[in-house]
Amino acid sequence: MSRRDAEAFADFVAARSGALHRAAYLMVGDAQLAQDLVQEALTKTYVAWPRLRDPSRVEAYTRKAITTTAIGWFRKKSWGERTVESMPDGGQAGHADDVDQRAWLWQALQELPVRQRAAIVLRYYEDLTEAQTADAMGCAVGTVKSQVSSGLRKLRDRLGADVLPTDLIEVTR
Amino acid sequence: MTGLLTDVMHERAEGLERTAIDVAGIVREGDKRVRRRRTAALGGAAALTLAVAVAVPALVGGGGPGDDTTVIDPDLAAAFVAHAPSYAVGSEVTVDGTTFDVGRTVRAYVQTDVGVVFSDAEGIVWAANGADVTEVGTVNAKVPRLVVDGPRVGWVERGDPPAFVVYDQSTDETVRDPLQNVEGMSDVRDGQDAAVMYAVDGDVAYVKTQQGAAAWNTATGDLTFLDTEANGFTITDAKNGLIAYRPAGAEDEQVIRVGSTLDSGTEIPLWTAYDLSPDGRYLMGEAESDDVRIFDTGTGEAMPKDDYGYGYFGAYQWIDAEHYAALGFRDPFESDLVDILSCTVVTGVCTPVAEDVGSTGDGFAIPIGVYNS
Repeated sequence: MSRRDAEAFADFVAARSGALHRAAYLMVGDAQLAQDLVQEALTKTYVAWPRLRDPSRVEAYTRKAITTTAIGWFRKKSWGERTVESMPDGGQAGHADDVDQRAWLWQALQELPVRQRAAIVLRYYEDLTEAQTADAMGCAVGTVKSQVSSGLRKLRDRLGADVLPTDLIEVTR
Repeated sequence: MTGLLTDVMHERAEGLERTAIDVAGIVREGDKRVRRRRTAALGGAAALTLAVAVAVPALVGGGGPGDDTTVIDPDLAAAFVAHAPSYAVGSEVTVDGTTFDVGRTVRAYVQTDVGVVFSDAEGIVWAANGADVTEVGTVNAKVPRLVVDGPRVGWVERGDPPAFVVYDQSTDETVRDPLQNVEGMSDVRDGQDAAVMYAVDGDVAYVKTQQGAAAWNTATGDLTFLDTEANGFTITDAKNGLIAYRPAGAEDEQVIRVGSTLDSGTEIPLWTAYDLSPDGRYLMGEAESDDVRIFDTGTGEAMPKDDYGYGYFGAYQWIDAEHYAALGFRDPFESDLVDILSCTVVTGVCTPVAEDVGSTGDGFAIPIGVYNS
C-alpha cells in the first residue's frame, strides 16, 4: 500500500463500492447524488492511498470521506431545503399503516440536518460504535451522542414514541 | 428496539440499483490532484523565500520526491485562505467540515489565512495548520487575548516587563519587543498600568505601552504615539487604515468612532464594539445588550439582521468584506447546543454552516481571541 497502486485500488472499488454507495444513499436520499459522493470519496481515497498503509484503514478512510464530503456539500448546496425522492403513498389495504409508517420514517430521516442523519446512518445502518462514528464524522464522541440523540428526538417528535421507542436514544457502545 | 429504523434503512439501501463506478476516471482525476498538490507545495516554498503571505499549502516535513504525505490537505488550506467559519470543541478545531486535533484544549483562539493560533490552559500560545502544532509564545493563562489580521497574530507576552509579539503564521516569523513597557506593568487589558495589544493591521500593531496608545510599525520599528491618556479599552480594532475606538472622555457613553486617527471619524451609537470588516467598511457591535449587529462605518447605520428564532444570535467572525459568521443558541441560559451560520451583510440573510456543534459547557470556542471561563 506504500505506492499509488491502481490495480489494488480497482480491486478495492470492485469489492466495496456497492456497500459504500448504499450508505451514501441513506445519507443524501438521492441515488445519483450518492454516486457522485462515492466517486468523490473514492478519488480522495486514491490520492491518500500511499498513506493508508494498513489495508483495513482504506474503507474507514473512504467512509470518512463520504461523510465529511456530504456534510460539506450540504453546507455549500443548502440541501436542507431539498425534496426527497420518494413520498409516502397509500400502499395496499391491510398493510397501509405499516407502509405509511415506513415511508414517513424514511421521509423524516431525510429531513434531518445532514450531521444528524449521517450519525444515525453510521450508528444504526453501518452498526459502528460511537468512537468509530466519531472518527468517520471527524468529531468528538460527545458530538456523536448529541447528534444521534437530537436526530432520534426529532424523528420521535414527528412519528410518535410507538414508532421509535424512547429507550432508542439510550443505546450506547 | 432499533428494529423499524434499521429495517427501513436496510430496505431502502437494498432496493438501490447497483451503479457502475468509473475507476479509470477516478485514477485520472486522482493523479491530476496529486500533480496539482505538488505544484502548490512548490509554489508555497517559492513564496516563502520572498517573505510574502502565502495562500497555498506549506511543506511540513522532509518527504522525498513523490512523497505527498508531507503536504497539508489542500481542502483545509483552501478553507483557511477563504476564512471559512471555524469553531473548536476541546482540542478539536473544525473548519469547512474538516476537523483536526491540536493536542490540547483550546482556550482563546484566532483564525489566520493559514491555520489557527490558540492559547492553552497554561498560557502557552500555539500555531496549528492541520498538520503541525508549534509553540510560538506565552500569554496570560487566565485572561488570554489574541488579535489577528490575515496571517499575523498579536498578543502581549508574559514577562516583567511584558513584551508585544506579532507572529506571522505564513512565514513563521515573530517580532517581539517590550517597547516602552516597564517592570510592574500588567499583561491583562483591565489590569493596573496594563500593556495591551489592541489590534494588528498589516505591518502596524496598535498597542498600549507604559506611555499610552501607539501605532508600532513592526517592519520598520517606528513607534507613533496616538493618545497618552488611553486606557486598555480605547482602541477596539483596526483594519485597512481605519481605527475603531472610544473617544477620549466618552468611557461611559454609548459611542464608538471609526476613523483614520483618534480624533476623527464616524460616530456609531454602540456600547461595545468588536471587529472591523477586512476593508473597514463595517463594524460588529452592540447598540443593545446581547444584540450583536453589523454597522456601516460610513453612515453609522445598522445593517439588516434577520430573526431566526434563536434565544441569542450574533456575529462573531468576518469571512470576507461582505460576509460574516454568526452563532445561534436556542436557549442561551441552558448551555444549549450552538449552530454556526454564514450571513450576508447587505441582506442580513443567513444560512446554516454547522448545526448543534457544541455547547458552552463542553469546551466550545469560537475564533474571537478571548477566553471566558
